[in-house]
Amino acid sequence: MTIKQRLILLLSIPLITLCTLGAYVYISAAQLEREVRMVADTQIESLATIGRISRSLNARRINLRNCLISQDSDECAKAREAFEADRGNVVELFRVYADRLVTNDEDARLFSQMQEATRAWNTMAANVLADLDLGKREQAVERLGREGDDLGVQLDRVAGAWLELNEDAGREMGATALGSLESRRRLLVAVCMAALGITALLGVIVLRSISRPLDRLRRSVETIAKGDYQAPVPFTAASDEIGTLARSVDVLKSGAAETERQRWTKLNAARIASALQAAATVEEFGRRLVSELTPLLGGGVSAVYEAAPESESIRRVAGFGLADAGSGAAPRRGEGLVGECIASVAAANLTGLPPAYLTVSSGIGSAPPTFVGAWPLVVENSAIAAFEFASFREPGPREQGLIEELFPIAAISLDRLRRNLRTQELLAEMQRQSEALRASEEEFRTLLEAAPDALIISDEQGRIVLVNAQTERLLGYRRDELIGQPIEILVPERTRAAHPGLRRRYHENPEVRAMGSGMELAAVRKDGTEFSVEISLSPLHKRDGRGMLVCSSLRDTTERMRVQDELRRAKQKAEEATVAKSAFLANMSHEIRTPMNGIMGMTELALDTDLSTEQRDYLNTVKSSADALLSLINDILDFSKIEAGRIELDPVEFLLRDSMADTLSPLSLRAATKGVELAYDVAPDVPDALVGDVYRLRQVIVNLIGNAIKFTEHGEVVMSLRLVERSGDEVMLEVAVRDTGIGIDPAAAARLFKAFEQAESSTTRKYGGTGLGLAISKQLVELMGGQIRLESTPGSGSTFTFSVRFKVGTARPSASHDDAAKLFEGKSALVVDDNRTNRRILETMLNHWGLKTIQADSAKSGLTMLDRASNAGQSVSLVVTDLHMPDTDGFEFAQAIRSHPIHRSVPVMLLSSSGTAGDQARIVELGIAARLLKPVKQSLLLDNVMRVLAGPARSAHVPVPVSDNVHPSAVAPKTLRILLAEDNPVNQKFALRVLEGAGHGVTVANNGREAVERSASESFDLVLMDVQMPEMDGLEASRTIRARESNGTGRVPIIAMTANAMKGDREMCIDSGMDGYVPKPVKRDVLFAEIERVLKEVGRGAGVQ
Amino acid sequence: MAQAFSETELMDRVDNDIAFLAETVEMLTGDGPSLVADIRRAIGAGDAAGVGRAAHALKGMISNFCAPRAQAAALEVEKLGKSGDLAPAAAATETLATMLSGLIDELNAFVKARA
Repeated sequence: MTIKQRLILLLSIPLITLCTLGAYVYISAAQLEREVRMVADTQIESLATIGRISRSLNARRINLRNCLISQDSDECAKAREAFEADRGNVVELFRVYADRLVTNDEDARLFSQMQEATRAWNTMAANVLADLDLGKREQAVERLGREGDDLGVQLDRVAGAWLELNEDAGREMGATALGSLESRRRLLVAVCMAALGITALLGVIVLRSISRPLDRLRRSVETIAKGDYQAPVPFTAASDEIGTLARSVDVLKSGAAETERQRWTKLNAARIASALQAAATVEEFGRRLVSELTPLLGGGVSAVYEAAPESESIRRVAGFGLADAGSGAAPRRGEGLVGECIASVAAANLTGLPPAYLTVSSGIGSAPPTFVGAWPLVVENSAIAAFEFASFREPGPREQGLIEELFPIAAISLDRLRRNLRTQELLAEMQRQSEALRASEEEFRTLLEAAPDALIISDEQGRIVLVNAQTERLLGYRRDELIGQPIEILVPERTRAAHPGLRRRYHENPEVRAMGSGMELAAVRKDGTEFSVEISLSPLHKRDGRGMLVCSSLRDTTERMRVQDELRRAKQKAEEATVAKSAFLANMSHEIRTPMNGIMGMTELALDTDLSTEQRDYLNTVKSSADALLSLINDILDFSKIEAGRIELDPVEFLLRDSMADTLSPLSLRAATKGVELAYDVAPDVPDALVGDVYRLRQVIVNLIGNAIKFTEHGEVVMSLRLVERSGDEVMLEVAVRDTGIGIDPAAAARLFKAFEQAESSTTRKYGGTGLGLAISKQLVELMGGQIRLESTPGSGSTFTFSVRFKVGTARPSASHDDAAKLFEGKSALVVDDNRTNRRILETMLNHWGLKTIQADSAKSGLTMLDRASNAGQSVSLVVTDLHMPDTDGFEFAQAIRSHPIHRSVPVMLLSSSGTAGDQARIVELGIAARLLKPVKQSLLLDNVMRVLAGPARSAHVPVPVSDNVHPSAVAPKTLRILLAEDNPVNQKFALRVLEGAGHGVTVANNGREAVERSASESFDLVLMDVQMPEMDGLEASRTIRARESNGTGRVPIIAMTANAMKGDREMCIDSGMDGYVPKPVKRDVLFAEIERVLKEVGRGAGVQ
Repeated sequence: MAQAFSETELMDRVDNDIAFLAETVEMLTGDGPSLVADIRRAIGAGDAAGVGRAAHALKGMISNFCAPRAQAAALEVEKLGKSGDLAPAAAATETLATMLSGLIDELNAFVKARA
């Protein structure tokens, strides 16, 4: 309860008492008043009234008597008047009394008695009077006497009682009033006394409850004022004003304590800080810190650690109370208490330490500390040092405050100290560097002077800053004449104007380079003479704000220029000579070829006639010599054409695989003769339809393959064609010709592609040749956008690889790939050849069309493979075998298959490198399905395989005949042996005239059958076949011929002559195996054009060597 | 009536070689009518294929002489023969025969005039 409340309570008691008493008195007074009033008002008045009534009654009695007795009528009348008047009075008085003067029941009873009595007397009086009036005085008097006395006595008695009653009542009321007044007065006094007593008691208590605490508080304040901040302030928990006051005092105490603490802290911090600032080294700094701070913290053991900037290491720089101040395990950032403190830039501490950790000791004793803590000195959010402290008690808030106050200042101070030390270090360093720089500048100057070229250093404005001795010598100036001058004084007048511009451009893009590539540079000496120079420029970036300098290095090139000039002139002369020579030779080509053609043509014609064996021999020799001579001449002419720059490529559309096959087939004979395998493969992704100079491509290939065959005694020559890249409609192909021949020495390889060189001169003698082939090939390859290279190992073989560029053509290949895939699905073929490369090539081709393959390297293993396949339930559908194999050849193999109980109906295709006459019979006997010449033309292989696998039912698909040794005539054929199949004599005559008139030899057949027979027995260059003939028409004859040719006897071009020029006819002719057609009646130019076209088509490969 | 054959074309065709032309005309004179006879025989025999063949051969022969009308007539018979419809063939054959003989006469006259 607060003091206020107590005081209020205290004061309220008297107050309440007072109020109560006041009320009581007031009420009592009111009551008393009422009572007194009653007495005063009521009782007295009622007594008075009663009195008056009595008197009035008495008066009436008297008056009556008087009236009676009196003899005087006036008196009687007067008495009667008064009698009457009094009667009214009495009535009035009774009324008044009845109105307000009846006090109680008794009073009321007596009053009514009175009224009764009065009424009785009145009656009597009235009777008396009546009597009187009647003149019966005696009766009246008698009545009066008889009744009036009794009634009067009654009346008196009642009035008396009534009066006595009221008198008693009045007296009683008064006494009562007095009595109550007395008791009230007594009560009042008692209550007052009681109240007074209580108040006094409470007052004492309350006052004491206030004054005591106040007193204690006062004493407490005095204690605080004396400086004792420890003693607790009393009554801080009290809930009254004392408590509030106590708390305020407490606050005041705290504030004073705080102020005191701060004063202590600031004082000590400032003192220690100034001591630290005076330190000259980090160690001294540390020492001062520990010695000043430790005692202030309450004593213990401490150390200061410095954190090296940028490194993980921390070293101890001072210690207090430690045995050896400067040692101890040096912690690292993050390690241990100090490390952690520094790394996390925050205070850290350990408590509850084991006894062995450390001991804090003094001279008297020692004990382990209970507290170890570390605080960082922080500058810019990183800790540069830490203070570690171990003690028996944790530093209190005052000590913490000291640390918080001191350490920032100490940190700055340490930081500054370190910076100062660093600055000193840097100054020393700078001095050292300055020395080194001076030394290197000396070196540089020496180098400059010693340089053999003139070195001129100029600035951004082109002013010469520095030159060396060579500059003086070369340009004829003294050094001081050059420095400060614009560099343009050294530039010849004619180019001087442009030089600043060049300089500026160089400054924009400075780099180390030769000046003015392609320009003839000159410099001018002091004496005005010019000389040619070579200038190299390098930029130098100077450090001291001078901008970029340029070092120009000049070299006199007069002599060199002269020599270059001479060389150039000599080269030009030589080139001109070569060009002239080549032009001459190129022009001669026609002149040279014509007589050659004559020689060869005539020789061939002669060979067609009947000759004796001897004559034939001689003429064959003449022919081969002429061939060789022509090939030589062609080489020379080609080469000279190339040199004269007169070779142009003639791009045409061609089918690659067919062309390759046609190119290689003449060569295959040569290879086979030597016992060397010739094979080729074209990678499946190489497009077949191409546009390019296939003629030249073939020239190169033939050259390479020819060489390969020439220099290979045994083994194989393989040509591989692959796609290197394809972009848009251009392709780059790579052709590799690999042989297993004698190889080429690397030293010799380099010379090979040069004209007129062979690997060694001995090879010329041994192997022949002009040595021009490779040089021409190289030129041609390069013309076709490619390169040629050679890899070779002497003794193992060589590989010539070249690349060419072609465009992709739009012609579509002959056989339908999809048809093939459908036909081949689920079927497999056995490929037998002792040569692995051949097997591989065949496999590639067959797999490409969707036919699965099994390989075998001999007839024997072939049979094994057949067995195995059929055992596995996957019978082979076709056997493709080489003819020439060691042990068992192709025929024997076929024989073995035909005799085999299980495999005898498997179709066999034979591949051979050459054709011999006797084979035909065996082929038929063994039922060989097809015979193809190697290297196999892809389209041919496909058609035949399809034909064989399709079976006899598909004979609607006309077999395409095999390509054989196409006449490799070196000369474009001018005279043909023509078979004319025409039944109509007139037509015959006309045709003969046209053909023989052109110089061709014509044999006539009258119908299809004759044509077939004739073509079998003789060989022709061309067949002109009338379509409609009796016995056998042209179509059938053509088909028959083709069928016969499929055995490998050569494909003769057939041209149809047909009167029906309808669309379907052409197709029919082609389907029958014909190569072209002319409409009838035959016109000369049409016929010859078609002949030429067909021959060109079929006879491509008319080999150029 | 216009000439049955084109003089200039024919001369061009034989390179103005009258002797050669004479020889061929001689052959036509001989062989042509015999082919017509073949046609007639074939019609009589109801051999449509034979009609076609013979007519075709005759057409081919005629075609050498730059005679479009005769050639057309032969073609007509050939077509009839090939189609198997021999009913109009006889009439067409007579037309052909007439044309052929006319041509032969003119050719002979021509050759004789220039011999």
